[in-house]
Amino acid sequence: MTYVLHDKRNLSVHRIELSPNGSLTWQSAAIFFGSIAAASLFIALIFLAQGYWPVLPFAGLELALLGWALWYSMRKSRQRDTIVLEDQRVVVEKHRMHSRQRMEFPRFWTQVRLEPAVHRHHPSRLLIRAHGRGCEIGDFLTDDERESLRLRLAELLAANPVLVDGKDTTL
Amino acid sequence: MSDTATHTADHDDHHDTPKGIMRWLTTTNHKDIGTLYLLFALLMFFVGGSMALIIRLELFQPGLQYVNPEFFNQMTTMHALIMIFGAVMPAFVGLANWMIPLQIGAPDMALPRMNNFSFWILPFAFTLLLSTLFMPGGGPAGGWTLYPPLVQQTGDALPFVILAIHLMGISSIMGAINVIVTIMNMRAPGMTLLKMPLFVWTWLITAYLLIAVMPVLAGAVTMLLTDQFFGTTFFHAAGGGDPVMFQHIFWFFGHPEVYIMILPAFGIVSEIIPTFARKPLFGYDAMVYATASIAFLSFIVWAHHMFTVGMPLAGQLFFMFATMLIAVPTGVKVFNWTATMWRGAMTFETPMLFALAFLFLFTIGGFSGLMLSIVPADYQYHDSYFVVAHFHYVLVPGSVFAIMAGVYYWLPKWTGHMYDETLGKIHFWLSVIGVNVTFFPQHFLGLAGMPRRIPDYATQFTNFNMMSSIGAFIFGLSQLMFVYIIFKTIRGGAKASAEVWESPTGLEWTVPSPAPHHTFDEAPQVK
Ligand code: HEM
Ligand SMILES: [Cu+2]
Repeated sequence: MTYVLHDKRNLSVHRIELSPNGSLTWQSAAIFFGSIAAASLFIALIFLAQGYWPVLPFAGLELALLGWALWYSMRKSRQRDTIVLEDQRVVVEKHRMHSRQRMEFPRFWTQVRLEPAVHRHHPSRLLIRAHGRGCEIGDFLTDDERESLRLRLAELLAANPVLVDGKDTTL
Repeated sequence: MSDTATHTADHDDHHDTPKGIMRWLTTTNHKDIGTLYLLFALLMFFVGGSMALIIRLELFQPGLQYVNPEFFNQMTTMHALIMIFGAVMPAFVGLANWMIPLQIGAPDMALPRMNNFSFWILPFAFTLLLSTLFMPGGGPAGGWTLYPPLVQQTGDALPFVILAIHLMGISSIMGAINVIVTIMNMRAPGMTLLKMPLFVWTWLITAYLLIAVMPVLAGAVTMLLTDQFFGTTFFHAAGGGDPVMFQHIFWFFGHPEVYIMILPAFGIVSEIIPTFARKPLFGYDAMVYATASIAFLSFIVWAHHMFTVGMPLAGQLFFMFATMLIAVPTGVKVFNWTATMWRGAMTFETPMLFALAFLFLFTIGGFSGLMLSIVPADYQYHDSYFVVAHFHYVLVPGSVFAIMAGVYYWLPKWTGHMYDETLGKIHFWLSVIGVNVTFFPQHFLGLAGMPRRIPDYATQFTNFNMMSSIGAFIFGLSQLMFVYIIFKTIRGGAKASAEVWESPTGLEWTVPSPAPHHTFDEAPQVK
């Protein structure tokens, strides 16, 4: 998880950008994959040279799976959630692997709520909504991060002041 | 634009959360899958353990009492396959699933759906493997090493065994890929490679080994299959093939495989000893480099398993010295664990007891390994009970004790409850005594010439065999306590605090909720 927080307080616009962990760059991924592929193929080719070719297809399949897995995980780490809190509205933008979504909420009515998981050990869900419409944000964060994000959002929203979890926090 | 993530009023904000058995079949949550792996490993530990007890029962006295030799051989073969692929490896994958995301600050594994798949292959694989016991000709009986031409005498079971091994391999590979991608790409900012906990490090290197050698195993067993059914002659001397080449190929996989079963154990012990010595791990960097050197060396020592099949003198010397070289990084590790405890404020809770027993008893296994690596000595020891004693010392008080240490260490974190310390300690002492009574006499049996994999033996071996069998039943039965303690802890018990232990290190122990207010403006805290 990463939060990139552009908290432009002075403009009274808060922009919070959330992204999942993504510790690999394409370059380091290539080096990493190359080093495993080199070892694996080297072994398989030596067996091939001795006439024991059936090792090679298995090595190939496996490397294909590894390559796909790396690619998939890196694409997934490009997901983004952006939450912009303006004077009158809250704009949420979600960039997912196969979709993009944008939602606007009237700031005064916006609430954030952390829903505990139905099952123990499952992730919690952070919901942002107003007037019965809403969406989930930060599903790629850890539970602790979602909790602190909830506190942060609640604090920012309350500054207006607004209802948080049905309570007026300024009272 | 899609609105898949849009939710409306309060009550239907839930995802469809499957209940009951469907929850476990469809789960993609790393903790659920970790639990499944661990419970599966526990079950297999008992299945494989029962087979071991059948073996020890038969060996309690010379002569044939309970089983016939064919069945005995099926038991030794199945016991090994089940313990290796069904108990030890899935237990490590389970621990990886539970702990690696927590330790690197990731919300889950990199590929949650593949994670589900790689677990659910296992029940099929092992049902298939176990079902071969009921097939005409019985289960595989030529040893877990599947040497041809002996293995070609297996009855109808052979293709099913090979299919089962393929399935286990697929599962391991998917598990390894998941672990490696998670560690590489899902680390929290600030969690640089040289800040990763050692359990993560050892698993990274283990996954690398798995990826390097699993295709070799897959290729080897496939060639057995084609030799049997499709007229190839890879290993058929009659057709110009070479049965000894199978041994080379198998052990090229097999030796790294034994390290696959010990490196994560090193990682667990490296987490536990500092916690209970209340000192940081001595020589972290050296530990990482030692692990990497062991992994590298494990590729160039395989022929120490086959000194007696005949090879050029230069080959024998090379493999002997390369094998001895492994003792160096291993020694570095043992030294560092010991130095970690030096002048530490030590306490001896159950996880620490298991870790300490690991340290002592694994080292005994390392020493007998060193003895086996001496070519002229191995000519005598090979295929004797000395080898059995060696690998059981590294695998039972080695890998298995480390797994148990890890379970006791992290169980409070998983369940929120403290296990019963008194029961844990009793379980520990029964296990240590049982293991040593079982396996130490096997050294003497081997040195005196008792061969491995036989259902009957010359009468002069009786006393040590009786001891060994008694030890085995002590060890085996005391594992029922382990199950009892685990389920008792799951169901209740004293509440465990977030930190559980006095001064553990690592992200997995950080205070859960409510998290301090400011953590979110900053990058996550990696110290
Ligand atoms: C200092 C480290 C080690 C050395 C020098 C060493 C050396 C050896 C040698 C030379 C043999 C072949 C004996 C023979 O068949 O004649 C052997 C067998 C074996 N070792 Fe080790 N070993 C070491 C550590 C380990 C570890 C850490 C494990 C596993 C956790 C392990 C598991 C095994 C197994 C399973 C066998 C027997 C395989 C079989 O024939 O079924 N060893 N070892
Ligand atoms: Cu070996």
